Amino acid sequence: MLQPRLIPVLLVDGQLQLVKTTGFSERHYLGDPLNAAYVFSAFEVDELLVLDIDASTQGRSIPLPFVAALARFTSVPLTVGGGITSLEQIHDLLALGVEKVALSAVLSRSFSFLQQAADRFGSSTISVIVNVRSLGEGPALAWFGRPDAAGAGPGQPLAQLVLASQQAGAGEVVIQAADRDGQRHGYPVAMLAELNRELTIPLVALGGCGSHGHMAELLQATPISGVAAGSLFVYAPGTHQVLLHYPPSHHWLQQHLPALQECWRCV
Amino acid sequence: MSLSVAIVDYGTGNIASLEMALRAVGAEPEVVRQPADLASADAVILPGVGHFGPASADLYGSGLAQELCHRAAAGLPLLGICLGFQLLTTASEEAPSAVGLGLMPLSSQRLRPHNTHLHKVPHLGWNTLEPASGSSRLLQGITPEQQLFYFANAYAIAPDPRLPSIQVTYSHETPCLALVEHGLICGVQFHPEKSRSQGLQLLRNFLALAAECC
Repeated sequence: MLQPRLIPVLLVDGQLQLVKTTGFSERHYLGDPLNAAYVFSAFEVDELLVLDIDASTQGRSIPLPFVAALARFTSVPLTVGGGITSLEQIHDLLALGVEKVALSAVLSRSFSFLQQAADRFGSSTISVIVNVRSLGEGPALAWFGRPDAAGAGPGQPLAQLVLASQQAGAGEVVIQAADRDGQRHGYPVAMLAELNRELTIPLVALGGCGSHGHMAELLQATPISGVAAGSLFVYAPGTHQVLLHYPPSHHWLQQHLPALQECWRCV
Repeated sequence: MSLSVAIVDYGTGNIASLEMALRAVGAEPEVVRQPADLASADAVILPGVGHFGPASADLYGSGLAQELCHRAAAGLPLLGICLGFQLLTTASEEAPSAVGLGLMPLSSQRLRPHNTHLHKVPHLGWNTLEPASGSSRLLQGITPEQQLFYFANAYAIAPDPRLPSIQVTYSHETPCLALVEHGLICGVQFHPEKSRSQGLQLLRNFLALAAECC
């Protein structure tokens, strides 16, 4: 049976430094992204997601030489994203040894690009990142790209945006809870579970995870395809001290997988 | 003498990770784009990532498809990976008007699970293999517990009991082919180049199989 993927997320800034954000704004410098990627590759992570968080704002795409180095330093399945706007860029990134590219901001300006990309490279290579905010009691609002970007607009209903992405050929959707970024209070479980019931493509949760308890909450609620996290994998538990780790989470999942799979059979 | 392994570049494939994995197991792969480049190859790998339609058009347009069929008939060992595996079959629902190389009498259909809450499409991530009947050369030295591989496919090939080949399946609601050994024509739906030490072992096994033939 297919296993849920545990996905460390690495964020790089305009100087190609590894950072961890809180609430999409505050940044904490962590070190060298290539070194971190190398360490996670040695941990044999299920997948690694690397995002250039300044690329879209600066009107460029994640630098090819950086991705080339990333691919050279790792042997695990890689997804990269940040400022990708053309089919040529996707071609060049895939040729470097990347499994999937992540699209987001470009889709707010040109949604049809998603279908073009999926048609040319196959759905399995196209990951879409949707940023979501739940404000008070109202329905969650979603954006392609940063919710606070210039001209980002008031946001759209989450399900609508995600189902449109599925329809256009997205191979998976990463739901990033912008308001939970770096908070380590847990995933928006109910929202993700509901979405996963509606979707036929893989769903990945990102934003809010701080413990195995949070992973358990999510996985018990829904047979989600990917459990992604930044803080969980880059900080020593409960601190802001840099400590890259993965094996404890992997072991945790392997231990709990039989019971989880049993409970998913009845969903 | 070291084996000459050719990786076929047909425009959309992910070449770099495969090259890296082959170097890791001691091979010196060469990326080929034209039929003439296949002349010195002892073994050929058709990698995967992309769409069946453009990939087929590219392979036939360059003449590589014809040359691969010709050489395969003469006993050249061939390994197709993911889309590369599907391209070895006759056709795919992904591009009904395109033709595959037809080296295996199989074809690809879109995955259509009934329980879409549990089984998503694309089939993306690490899946286990079902216990194999018969002895697979490619899985030699990989224990059943290690038979976990990285997949990324929306189209799949159903096993065919009439086909006298080694067939190993994975389950995504229904059984689909993870691996076929059809004489010296081999295909894997997963990505050995991204599947940890067990993936490298599989590549090593393919090279060993190819070495016996030259």
